[in-house]
Amino acid sequence: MVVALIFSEPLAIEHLWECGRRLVCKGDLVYSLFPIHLTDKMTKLMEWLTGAFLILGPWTAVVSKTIQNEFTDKYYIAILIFPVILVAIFGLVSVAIIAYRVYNFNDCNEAAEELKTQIKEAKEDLTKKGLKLD
Amino acid sequence: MGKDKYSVLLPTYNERENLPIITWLLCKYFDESGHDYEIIVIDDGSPDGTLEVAKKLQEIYGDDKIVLRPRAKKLGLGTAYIHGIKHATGNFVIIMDADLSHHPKFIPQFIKKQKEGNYDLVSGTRYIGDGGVYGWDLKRKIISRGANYVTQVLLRPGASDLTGSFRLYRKEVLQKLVESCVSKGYVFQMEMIIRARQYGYSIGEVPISFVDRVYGESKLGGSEIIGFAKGLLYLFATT
Repeated sequence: MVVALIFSEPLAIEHLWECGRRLVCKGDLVYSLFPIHLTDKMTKLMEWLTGAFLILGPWTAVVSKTIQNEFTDKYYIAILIFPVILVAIFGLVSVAIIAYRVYNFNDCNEAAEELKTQIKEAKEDLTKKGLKLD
Repeated sequence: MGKDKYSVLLPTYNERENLPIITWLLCKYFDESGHDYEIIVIDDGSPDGTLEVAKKLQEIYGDDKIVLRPRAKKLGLGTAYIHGIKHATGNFVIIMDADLSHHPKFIPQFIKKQKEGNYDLVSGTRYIGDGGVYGWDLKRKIISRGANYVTQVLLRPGASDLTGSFRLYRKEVLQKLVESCVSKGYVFQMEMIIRARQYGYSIGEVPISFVDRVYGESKLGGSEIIGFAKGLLYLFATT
């Protein structure tokens, strides 16, 4: 698979697509050409834990001075507060995105008007067809 | 048009006033578009006489168009779908609410979309394009958008509207999804689309307007939010 991707051999890629599709049909969770099959089989929780581990692992090593060099000494404070900054930025971006989406949430006034008209129309027609409505 | 037939599942409970309207609209738009269809009314023993109204509608439109599959009492949405699918003669199934918040005018667009991409399911979405809502105040919009955003981040579902219940499914796809979903309420619709992605089904989307005519504070209390959060975490940990 990796060879096929590296050389971008069209036939091989085609074959991989086919494999992928067949796997999908079997209800397997593999549906990508790219070598991220590992993550496809993980639950979302495991993905997040893996991500957290990949960031917090090295971070812990630096903060506890298990790893120490010129770079970590120079930027120690910055590295120390890095996770907090990451979370803060994520929070701010999230709030901004939600605010933008709330602001742009369409009000379907026309749809409500249309429905009101159609309800009247329907009632008249159904009464004509013999349905008693109250 | 081919041999495609569309079965509309309408679970009802105390929809005596809305059922004639939704039926009239469904017939109107299906007759205009020329697709083969049937409407399966699954009434869960409504005390307001929904079933009696449905019977009269059947007399008007014919029992090939209106199919009645009542149940004795309220048994939940998931089982209503299973019950409906069993009697559905179409190869596609449309699920929607009978309270007129979902307008049948979108169904021809769903069908067109499905054919365009040969999708396994087409979901109506309030959140993209011309989609939107009517009758929601700012608070309701914030909760809706916020919940949707958190879900998008945590689950990356590949669909924009997860809690909507206006969708078109291939019959066998709906069958499989309903059988594998355990959640209730809002979360049920969300689990359906998350599992759809998990099983590798293709999803198309059509923007819809959601007209909420009976919006009340009671519809979105603290217990709903807690239920939603629980469902979200369940899916986060299992899919």
